[in-house]
Amino acid sequence: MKRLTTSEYYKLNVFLKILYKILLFFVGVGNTFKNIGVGFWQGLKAFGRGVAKEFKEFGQILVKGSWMTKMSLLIMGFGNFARKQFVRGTLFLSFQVVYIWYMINSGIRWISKLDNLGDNEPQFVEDPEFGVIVRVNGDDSFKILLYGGLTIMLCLLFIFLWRMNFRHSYDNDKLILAGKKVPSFKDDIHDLVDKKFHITLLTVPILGITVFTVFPIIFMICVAFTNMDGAHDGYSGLFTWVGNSNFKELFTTTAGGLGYAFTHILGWTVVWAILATFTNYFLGMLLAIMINKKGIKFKKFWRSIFVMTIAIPQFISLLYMNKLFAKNGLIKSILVNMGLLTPGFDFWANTTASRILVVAINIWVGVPYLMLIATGILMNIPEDLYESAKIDGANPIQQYFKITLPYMLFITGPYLLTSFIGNMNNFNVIYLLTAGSEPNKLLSTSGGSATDVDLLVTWLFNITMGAESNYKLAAVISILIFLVVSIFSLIGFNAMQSNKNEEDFQ
Amino acid sequence: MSTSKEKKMRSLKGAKRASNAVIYTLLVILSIVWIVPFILIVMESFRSESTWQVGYVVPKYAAFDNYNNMLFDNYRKSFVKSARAIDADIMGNAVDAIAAKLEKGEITDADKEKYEAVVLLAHSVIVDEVSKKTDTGYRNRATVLRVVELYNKLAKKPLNLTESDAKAEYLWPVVTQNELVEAERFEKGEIKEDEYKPVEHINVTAEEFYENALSQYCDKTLDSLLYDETANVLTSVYTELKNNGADEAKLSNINALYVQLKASMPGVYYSATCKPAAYILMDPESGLINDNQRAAIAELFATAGLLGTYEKDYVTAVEGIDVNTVFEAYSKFASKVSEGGVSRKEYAQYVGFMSLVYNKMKEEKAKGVVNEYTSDATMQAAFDLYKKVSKLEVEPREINYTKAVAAFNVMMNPEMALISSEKQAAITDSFQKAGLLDAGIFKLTVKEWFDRFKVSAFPKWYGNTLLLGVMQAIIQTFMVLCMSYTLSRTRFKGRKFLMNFMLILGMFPGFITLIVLKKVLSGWNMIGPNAVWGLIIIYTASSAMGYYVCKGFFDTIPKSLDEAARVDGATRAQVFIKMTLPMAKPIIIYTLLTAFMSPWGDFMLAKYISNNTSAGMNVAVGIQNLISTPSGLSEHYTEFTATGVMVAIPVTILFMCLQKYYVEGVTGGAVKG
Repeated sequence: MKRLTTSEYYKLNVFLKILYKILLFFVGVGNTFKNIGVGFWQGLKAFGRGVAKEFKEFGQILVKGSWMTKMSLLIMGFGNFARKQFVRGTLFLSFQVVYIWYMINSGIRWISKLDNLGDNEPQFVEDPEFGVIVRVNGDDSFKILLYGGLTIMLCLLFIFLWRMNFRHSYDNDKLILAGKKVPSFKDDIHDLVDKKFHITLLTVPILGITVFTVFPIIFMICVAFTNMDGAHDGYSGLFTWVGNSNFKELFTTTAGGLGYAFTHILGWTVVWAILATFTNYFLGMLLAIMINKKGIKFKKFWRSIFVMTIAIPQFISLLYMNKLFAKNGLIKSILVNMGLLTPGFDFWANTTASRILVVAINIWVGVPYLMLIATGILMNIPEDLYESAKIDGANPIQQYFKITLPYMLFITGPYLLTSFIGNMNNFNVIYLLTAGSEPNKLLSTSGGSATDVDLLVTWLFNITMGAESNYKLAAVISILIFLVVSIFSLIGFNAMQSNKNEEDFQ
Repeated sequence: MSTSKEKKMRSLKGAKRASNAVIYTLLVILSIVWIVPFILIVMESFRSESTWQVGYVVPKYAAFDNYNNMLFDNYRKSFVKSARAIDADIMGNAVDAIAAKLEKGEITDADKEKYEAVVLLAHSVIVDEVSKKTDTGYRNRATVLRVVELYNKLAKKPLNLTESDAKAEYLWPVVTQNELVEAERFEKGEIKEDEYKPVEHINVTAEEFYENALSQYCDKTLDSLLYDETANVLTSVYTELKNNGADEAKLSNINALYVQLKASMPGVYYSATCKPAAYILMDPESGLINDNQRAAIAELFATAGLLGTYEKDYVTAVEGIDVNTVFEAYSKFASKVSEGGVSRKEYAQYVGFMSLVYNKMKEEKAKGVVNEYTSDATMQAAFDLYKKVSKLEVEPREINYTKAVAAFNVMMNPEMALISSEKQAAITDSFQKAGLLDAGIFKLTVKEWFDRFKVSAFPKWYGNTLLLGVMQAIIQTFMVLCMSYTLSRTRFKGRKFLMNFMLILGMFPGFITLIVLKKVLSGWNMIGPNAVWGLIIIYTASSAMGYYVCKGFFDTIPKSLDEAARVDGATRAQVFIKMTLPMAKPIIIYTLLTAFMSPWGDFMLAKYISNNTSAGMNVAVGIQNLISTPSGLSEHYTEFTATGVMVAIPVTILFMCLQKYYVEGVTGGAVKG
């Protein structure tokens, strides 16, 4: 598509301008996806090159390395010991010993069982001595998957450290050839607080993320390809690999099918996220503008009143709101007493009413945040922009649409995106407000039921916490949520980019 | 020219003022919308009526019961339970006594409030009995109405149904809740037309309506939401029956029912009803019930373990009354009996006293005291007298609380004149000093008070959440600072990759990792009762992924500062600790604050990891658990609001103090995030 220059763009009429923008947006989305594809391919190529280089260097070390380095290939830390780097050497060697001991003792066993996650079902047999039925533990698929996975990770770590070990030794070789001193333990420590300070700082956080986020996610991706659920959770019964049959279930699009429920809930999730994000955004901005308007007194007082909502833990205000509007709740009974509602009406049982209510209550909960953010940003808008607009005769509404709004959108673009994603996964508001409502029969699936206000994430919660504990479906849905979220992120990111190019303020 | 310009200026100013006025109005309205729910929460937290189904806002009986229940639990609840278990006939007697007193004009306006509590308690007790369909003694609808009428006389603002109240139009179609439910289900299409039998309430007569409403009210089948409407219909019923010449009794009954429905007479609550009612019932001077009944109530409370050391102290005090005084009283009593000054009917009152006398004699004898009272003849005479008054052929057993009370009452009764008034005054004095007389039984020392409180689960939840908040604040801040400083200040291979990788990780729903983590944590014994530790790990282990805001802040600190320091020979670690961290104070406070606040609101992870074990819950899960069932909701609703206030106060104060930093962080985060 041909890009217009700025002057050409301004010559277009309003309709064409909008059309141009929309076109630009879609082209941008397309480009983004293309870029991702290209990036992925390039990454793959880079990876291939890296592997090739690695092997080449390995060959070099084999040929050129000293005998100590060659010994390091067999006994980790040998090269360090030979160069009197005892601390390093001890660390390498002890790791190797522990690794080998672990692999022989249990590691190999876990990995060997990974292919079908265990064969021996737990059995209930009569104890010959006491004549009672006792449980004879069989394999535990969950443990096999867990420890098998961890063992594989350990193996990768071993390879990494093994490589590091002989590389160190080779580096030492080179230093000695060049007639330089081999770094002592003290030098290593100094490096860790200076040149390699990032390693010191990052070790703990990255370890935490790897063990408590990356590994569980890999595990759950694996679970999506098994038949794990409450009855087959490893301990009660074995589960095994089932290929992509869980994903196939998604294509049952009739009522009661997983696909049907998924598309319905996804639809509402997106609508909710849009409504929740933009109502909060604009109302919060409006509130901030009102409070910060020149000539309005007691600014701090007004702000404090709204900020109080942030300070009070959400679970209290949300549970309270739920009860206010519940059948026989305070607001409900007041409305009944006023004759506005029939006693039988229930806000939370009525689809439309409950949807409107959750959005409204979310406004109540969320607007103060936006008010705070908008306040900070509004103060940063250069005053002379408004001055010159005034001189040109722009009224406040024009000023808002030509200066305030574009500036805000430009600045808070990333925030809008993250809050959109956050709203898609807004568990608290939906769960605390609507838990206990009657589920929609059309949305009850093999996994679990859902109400008309449930988001994907609360649905996920219900599926996992429900009677069946349908972990495999939960895993599949998590992957889908990830896909949806990443697609929206990409689109949003792209929209921001096009915005930035067109209306750059700086 | 100038005038038109002035005019324009003036009109501009006017417009500005007008627009400001609009903004002020809007702000006021919005503030009200935002603040009202909190005011409601606070008000409800002081409400004694624990049910959540009330149609009014301002508490009718304000008290700290909810706070106390959440913090200490149990004592008050079992007190209320015991009070409600008092025999309906005793309460009926008390009500009659109050009615008689009122008639005689013996109750001053100031005292009315005290007696009102007894009437309320009686009302609940009797309605409970009536709803069980028992009909003996005082357990009938007529008594309920009588009680209500008395309540109305005692209440500060009497509520009376007059003809002028009568609604012009009849509102017959308010009869039963069941009908409403049926009709609603029919409207919804849940029942078919041939199954739906609308009750023909149009044909209900005034009399029938009254009977209906009364029986539903007494059987507790009338929804509290329908009280008001039913009361309104009663006005019409009243007029109609009056015009038909119904008798006064019936009309006053209708009035009583009306009062009841309009006033929505509350149930029984510890501080509003039970405590004052118990005080006055057990006060011998009030004369509402007789000693036997009083003893029965005392026993009821004692069985529930609510009397504690009081009764022991009382017995000790009675036993500690000077021997000579007791013997002097005995000799007076003996001569009175021999003169025939005591009727057979009165004998029963003296059982406790005689038992005390005989026990005292035995005691003295055992000590080896030899005087006229320890002689065999006197003891035989005392034993005979004891047998006479008690109609028992066995030796009296040790003094217990009931007997002590009886003996005390006998000796202190001026009409019986067994001991001189000076001695009586001395005894009263010593009892008062021991804290045994001051409306008695329910007076406890502070220590005793706390000894008997079993602590509720709430402090545990609160402690859990506090621990979580503090630990998370510390660890998360550490993690975030490490990550954001590194990403902002150092350049290394894989930095971009790391950032992108964390971005992608963040797109997975966090909940899903929990299935694995729960299993792992359960292996480490960190779920259920120890959920706090498991939660700390889960909350903080990956918290470095939220580095955005902090990194944005570090980006704004000029790099040249770092480089200058490095040139001077500082290591990176020194730069970080000695230079960057002090400059990052606002963002550190922001991170601490948000990290501290997040466990207070977390629900999903905490619920899953706590595994329904009360000891491992945080406040949010515990409270949600408490009110998630309908019965729990009606029992704990106001306690939930009290919890809300208790949780909100410290967090709000902290937040308000550090608001400046929070705003900076949030704004910065939104701009750079």
